[in-house]
Amino acid sequence: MHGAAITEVAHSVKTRFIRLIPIGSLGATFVTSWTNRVLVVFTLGTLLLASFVLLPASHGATVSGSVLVVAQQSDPGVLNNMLGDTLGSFFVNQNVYQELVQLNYNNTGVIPQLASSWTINPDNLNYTFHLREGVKWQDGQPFTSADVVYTMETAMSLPAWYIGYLLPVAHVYADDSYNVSFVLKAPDAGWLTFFAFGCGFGLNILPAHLYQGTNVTTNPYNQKPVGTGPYMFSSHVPGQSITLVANPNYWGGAPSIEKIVIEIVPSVGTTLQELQQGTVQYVNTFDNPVDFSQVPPLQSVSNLEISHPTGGVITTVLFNTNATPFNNPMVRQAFAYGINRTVLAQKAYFGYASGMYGFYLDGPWFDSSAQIPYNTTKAEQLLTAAGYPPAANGTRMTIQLAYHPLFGMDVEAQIIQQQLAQIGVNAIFWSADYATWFTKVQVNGDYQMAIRACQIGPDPTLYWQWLDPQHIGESGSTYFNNTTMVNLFNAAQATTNTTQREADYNGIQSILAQYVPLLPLTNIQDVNIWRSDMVTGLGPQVYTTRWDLSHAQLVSGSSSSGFVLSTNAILGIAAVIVIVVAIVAVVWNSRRKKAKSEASEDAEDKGRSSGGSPPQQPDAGAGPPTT
Amino acid sequence: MLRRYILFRVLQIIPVLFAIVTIDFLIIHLVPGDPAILLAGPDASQQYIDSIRAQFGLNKPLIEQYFIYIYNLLQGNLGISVLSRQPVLQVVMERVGPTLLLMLTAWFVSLALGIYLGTKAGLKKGSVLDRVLSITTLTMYSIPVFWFAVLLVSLFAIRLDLLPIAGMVDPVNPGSGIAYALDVAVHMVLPITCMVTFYMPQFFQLTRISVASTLEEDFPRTLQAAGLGKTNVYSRYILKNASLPVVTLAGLWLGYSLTGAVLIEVVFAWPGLGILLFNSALSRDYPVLLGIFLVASVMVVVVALITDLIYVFLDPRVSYKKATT
Repeated sequence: MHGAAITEVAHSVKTRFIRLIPIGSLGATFVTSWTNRVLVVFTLGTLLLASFVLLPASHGATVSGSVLVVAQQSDPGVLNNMLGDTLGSFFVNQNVYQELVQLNYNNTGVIPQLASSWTINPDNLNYTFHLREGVKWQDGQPFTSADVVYTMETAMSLPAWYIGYLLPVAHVYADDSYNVSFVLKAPDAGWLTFFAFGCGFGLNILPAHLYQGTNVTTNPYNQKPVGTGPYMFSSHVPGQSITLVANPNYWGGAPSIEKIVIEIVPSVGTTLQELQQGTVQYVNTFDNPVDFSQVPPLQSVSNLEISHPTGGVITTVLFNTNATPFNNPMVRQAFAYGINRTVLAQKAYFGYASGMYGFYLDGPWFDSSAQIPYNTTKAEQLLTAAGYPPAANGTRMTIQLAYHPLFGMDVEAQIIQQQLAQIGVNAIFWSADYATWFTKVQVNGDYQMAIRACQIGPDPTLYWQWLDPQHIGESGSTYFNNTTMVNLFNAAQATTNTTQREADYNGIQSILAQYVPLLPLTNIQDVNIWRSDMVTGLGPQVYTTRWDLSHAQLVSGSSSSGFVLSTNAILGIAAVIVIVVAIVAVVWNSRRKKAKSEASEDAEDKGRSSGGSPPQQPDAGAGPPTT
Repeated sequence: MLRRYILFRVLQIIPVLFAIVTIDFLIIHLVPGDPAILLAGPDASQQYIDSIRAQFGLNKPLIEQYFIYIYNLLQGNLGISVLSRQPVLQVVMERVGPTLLLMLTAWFVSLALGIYLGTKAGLKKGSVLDRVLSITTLTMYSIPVFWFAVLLVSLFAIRLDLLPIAGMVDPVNPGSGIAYALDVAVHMVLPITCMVTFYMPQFFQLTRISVASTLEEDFPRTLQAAGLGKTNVYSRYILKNASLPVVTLAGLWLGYSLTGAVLIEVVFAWPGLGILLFNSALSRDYPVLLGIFLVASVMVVVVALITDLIYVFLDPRVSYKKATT
């Protein structure tokens, strides 16, 4: 068999049995004349050229000097957080725009940014911010109280998602050019912390001289922001990158890095590969939802530094307290006893989260007496008492668990399913993308048990948006309405006395532990990864503006530019050229061979007809004609 | 008669496109999830959600939204993107170029390689060359594209540091003129390799089978018996007959090319329509989704038309049949 086949190949090579090179031949079937050939080449060339022309033109003069490349997953539509865009605009906004005040990363207090100091009237109703003087917008105009008043009034007129932070505010007015007063509707001790947190999420100060009198949703500066921050917007190539350049007149001193390129990389796996190659130097999990299983292998990479401070984001189970079986508090308690949150934090987040047994974040506001430990015996007792004894196969009930895959919650769901099976609960999954999940769970309340992520820190005031019964249909969709809890929240908000607030929030945590409308699972850490051999000065700075790069510096001597057209690139180009040349050669060769073989076959045909010998069969397997 | 056939096929496009637009519109609005709620964010007031709905006309009955859409479409207005608040046509068209560049190149390389190797193997079915090529291409076809992409990246980009990992141009120094074109070419190598690995085997197998089966028919022998040269028989008759299914597949694939590479575009961060489609679907950006589907449908329909017209040249029966009915 093999011998014959090899002989066959040898024959075919030797005698050039296949005299036709197929591409040319197939082309020849419908491209018979030179005009048509030219036409085909012209069309293909035009198509390729057209696609080159259609490419976004490379623009912006290339800045030589230090460059930091950062990756982010989503491509922003609008570069103005105030319009409630996706995550894509945060990084740009944090570096181009600035806020009045910020929250210190460790939650040790409010720190100044555009407001250098502030005074609170003893009645806790009137907050006056003293603005930093001499600050200029990036177009040279001075920054004044008019900008602050414009921003706050616009924000309040746009009933947007961050409105919660401004809801307690009755009105805002300018005392003079550098003093702005916020008058609250009612005394609120937690407001400053709350506001400082909210500042990073949509309350960046906008330039009134560019926005006043225009429609804020359609203003062209939403695409090319002008701020007071350390970096200036330079260009945005949709789907590819956003470029920021250093602001030489920044009031805090010109930043060390001259240019920041934000590369849009939709696949986080690709981002981590770029980080290892060094073409990306900084990755933040807020902008890039990293699959936590991918982080531990990176720990062994010597030039990568991983910072993972604990933030205020938790994952939590939501129980629909209107739906069976979760309208029974004993069932909800049983579930709390039946889920091992330590295991959850280790297995779903590979240690980049901590299990939560209480009902608030660790820290000054935490009530250690309101905790529910992991105890399957207790869980089973409660379920039996609630009227769910085990059936013959050990199953007590079947419930539906609705989740979406963000923040590693798909892994959490699987672990919860296994853990619940041990107490006789059969959990079946319902999962979809965030949009579909949100409609089902948060809007329609059409669920039994769900998992979601939410921000409840740094101040417990923030917790309220997840528990307020008036938010039903938007965020507090557990339908849990407890008058005592509502009263405690109102009392905590009205007082300025920290001891009193603590007591009130402890009371709320006790109620939560008793009724379990929601069950906090894990407190997720903010994972930041960067090339320590290329950049320094990164890491946690302030609570909401983790991405302010004004202090970042490049390590001298390290090449921080992206992929450079070097020998490597030339090799790549060579590969392309080889392919093109090969194709051209094949086509040319076919033509040559065809002309040759036609000539020879014509001669052959003549010889055959004169000799009267039967023509050879063109069977592929048959022996080749001898020449 | 030929002219009548062509006219008939061109006119057919109009009802087809209309039906496509209608079905797209319905399907997209049947998917659960509300762009207004997503855009408004987690803690938005009902008032704000309503104002967004009103802004994008989402508060009107579906049938009214449909007629407004058709009315605007007839005037060349595809609406405003919910996410970026920019005209959909602009948002979509700036992504068409990169996708076409990637897909046309991959298409051309796959087609050329597939037909060349397929003919070689088909003419000598059962030979060692045929077997080697068949097994190799089948293996290539079976490799999951995303896995192969990761493999290629870790070898050529990370280990050997020969090629860039992702993107279309170097975001730091995009260059201009020839340097820009070269930069794009370098960034294309890995995604194209992945795509060719997946698509070339299809062209190869189809060409191989049709060449081999045409070879088994009677007419090549008859033609040779009639005294025609082997070259003539092969190039003018066998390959012409064998090319029909290949032309069909090539046309089909070219038609789908605008949206066919979502996975490749996502893995390699290629700024094309695929990524736009992916993001728009996640954020329920209805106008952009409809815009992408429309552009892609026009591409499919036009390429199908061109394919049909090529049939006329390859197989005269096509036009006769249509003309008599």
